[in-house]
Amino acid sequence: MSVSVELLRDNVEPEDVALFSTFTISATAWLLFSTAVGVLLSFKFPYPDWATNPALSFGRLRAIHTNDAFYGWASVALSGAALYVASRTSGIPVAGKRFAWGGLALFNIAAILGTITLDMGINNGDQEYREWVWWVTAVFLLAVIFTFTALLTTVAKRVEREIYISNWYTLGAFVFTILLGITAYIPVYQRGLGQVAVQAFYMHNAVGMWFTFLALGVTYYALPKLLNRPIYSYALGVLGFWTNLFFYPVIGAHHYEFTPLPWWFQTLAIVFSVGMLVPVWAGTGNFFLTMRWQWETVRRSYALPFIVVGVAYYFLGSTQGTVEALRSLQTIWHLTNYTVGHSHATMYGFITFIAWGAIYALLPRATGKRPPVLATGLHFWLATVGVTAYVVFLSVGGTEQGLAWAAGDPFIASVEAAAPYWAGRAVAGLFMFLAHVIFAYNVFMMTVGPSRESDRYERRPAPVQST
Amino acid sequence: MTGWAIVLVGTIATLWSIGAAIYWTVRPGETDPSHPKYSILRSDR
Amino acid sequence: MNNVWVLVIAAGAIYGCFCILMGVAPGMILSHTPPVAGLKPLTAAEARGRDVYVAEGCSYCHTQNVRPLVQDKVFGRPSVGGDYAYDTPQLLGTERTGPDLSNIGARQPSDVWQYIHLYDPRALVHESIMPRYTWLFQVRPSASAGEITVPLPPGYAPANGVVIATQQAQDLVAYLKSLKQLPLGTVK
Repeated sequence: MSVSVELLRDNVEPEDVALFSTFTISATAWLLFSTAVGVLLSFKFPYPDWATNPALSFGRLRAIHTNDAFYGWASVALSGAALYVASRTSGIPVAGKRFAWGGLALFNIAAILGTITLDMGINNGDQEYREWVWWVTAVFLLAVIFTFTALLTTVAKRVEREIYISNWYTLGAFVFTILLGITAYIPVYQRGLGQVAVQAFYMHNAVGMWFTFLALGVTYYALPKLLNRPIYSYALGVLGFWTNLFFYPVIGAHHYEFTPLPWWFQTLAIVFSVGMLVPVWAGTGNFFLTMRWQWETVRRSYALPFIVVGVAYYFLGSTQGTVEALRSLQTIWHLTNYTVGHSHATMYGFITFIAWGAIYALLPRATGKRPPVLATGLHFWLATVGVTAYVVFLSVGGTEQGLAWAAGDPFIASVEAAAPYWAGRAVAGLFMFLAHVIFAYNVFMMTVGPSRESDRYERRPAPVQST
Repeated sequence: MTGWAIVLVGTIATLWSIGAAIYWTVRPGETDPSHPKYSILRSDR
Repeated sequence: MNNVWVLVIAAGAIYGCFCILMGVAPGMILSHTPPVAGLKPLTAAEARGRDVYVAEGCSYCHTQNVRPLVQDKVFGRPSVGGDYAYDTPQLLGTERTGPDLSNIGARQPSDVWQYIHLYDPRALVHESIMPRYTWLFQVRPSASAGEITVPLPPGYAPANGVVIATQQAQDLVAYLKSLKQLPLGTVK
């Protein structure tokens, strides 16, 4: 038997195929929309007079770009994959399907309402990543609770004795996000400087306790399945879960640097910023050790290159985060576009690439339809070159900004210094958007599109008995 | 004083987790074939 | 781990503690930061202007946080917690694509400058990449009594008619002019 594991189709009931497909299609639509907005925004830097109109203005569209990419694309794509992973690892179909469908509908209602209100200038006080007004976020949290119900029921009804590590991460992500969302929207402790503290905690945790946990969770399933090889160390995965949970919520305090907080509070943040290297390095080490001496399989796979880039950016982006927390470097980089580069290294290089890797790995196993080889390769290279150029342009441009300020030049000198890098960023953004159009075509081909017989996976006989 | 104690506990936790990470990287163990890391590789999972 | 309820409840309880310790508690303590001496809440017009500032997302490019660093001296004295006592929602910002505005009311006190700059930033700063906020103004054949016309330099004014500042523009400028740092003096 020399058949690659990627040639086999999972035995999945039709409604679960429809569920996974619809989550992915919905997420892809929001990816296209939010990044089209992103491209428009990036061209406003070189052409500030272009599209002068309140509904197309930078100040309103910026929040639409970030929120829809976070909550319309990445959340939904990874939730769909998480449900599929839970069903496979539990050995049963997705349980509580009504909740899963309801969750998907609510995710979309929240994103639509959020987009409309933000474009009308109605927002939650420009608090980054929680710009949606409270009743839109309430719909989003309801979506999280619904999807969580389906996920939890599936894992609770599993036929396996042990809960596979993927489900630890994904279940955790949902629990943390529900708690965080409630914490972020209660106003009583959010006046003046108090809100600064809550915002720093929220911003940090919305990324690290939701997207990171979801992405790591699906990777712990997708990677071993693609290689047909167990994860190098399961115990490292468990260690990563607990260290992420204990260290990550504390380091949000490194955003409090210029506020009058107790000294030990800041010291603790620095200690745990170093501590965060443990889950990051142990996690990436674990993934790369799982891939060791299998580089030919990686090269020939549709999905594995995406996971390799995603894990590499997890390592780079998170390590960069620790370094950025050091005060001496913050004096130059803080408030510059370097930060925007960092957020794209993590939310795009890491989270989005893992979401793509998981979709290319798992969706064809569910639907029995593979994406076209050429289009998948194009998607990979356009996105990889695009995001790398994007991060490099903004890292250099941001450094130029910071150095111009430090040199004591008039402020406009920092704008002029960054201008060429902003133009380069816009071109890099176009590459990324083009990759998304190709990805959308691939999603179409993997789901509802016409599939040629040679592109179909072979259906595997139903399992005799699963214990 | 309490602040010091918390920083101390945090430092110990960090050092312990570094040790644990190194240990499991060097010795992954987990050779029991019924371990969940193997069972998910079955064709029905 | 083979009990999903233990896993979910334990993880949730731990994270719930962190939410309270690292989110709610600092928020609660710092919400009671006393204002710096002499700081007054915004007037009605200034507060409406602040709403325009928030709705148009000004804080995505303009910080209101002077750091205790040499390069920030140009923007004013280092910000202190008491500066933000009446500042809800907080607008410290994370990006400084444009200059810091903590003390803009003192640094640029001219109404006329602010109106021209909001209508077309490039009329005053040629290399600026700030958007034009033309929807805060109206172009009409002539101004009625009591209306504020914006004296744009040649080449930036519309071919016909005059540019009039709407109530929103007036409120926004009132807010910008209110952004003045108070001296800290000896009593904090």
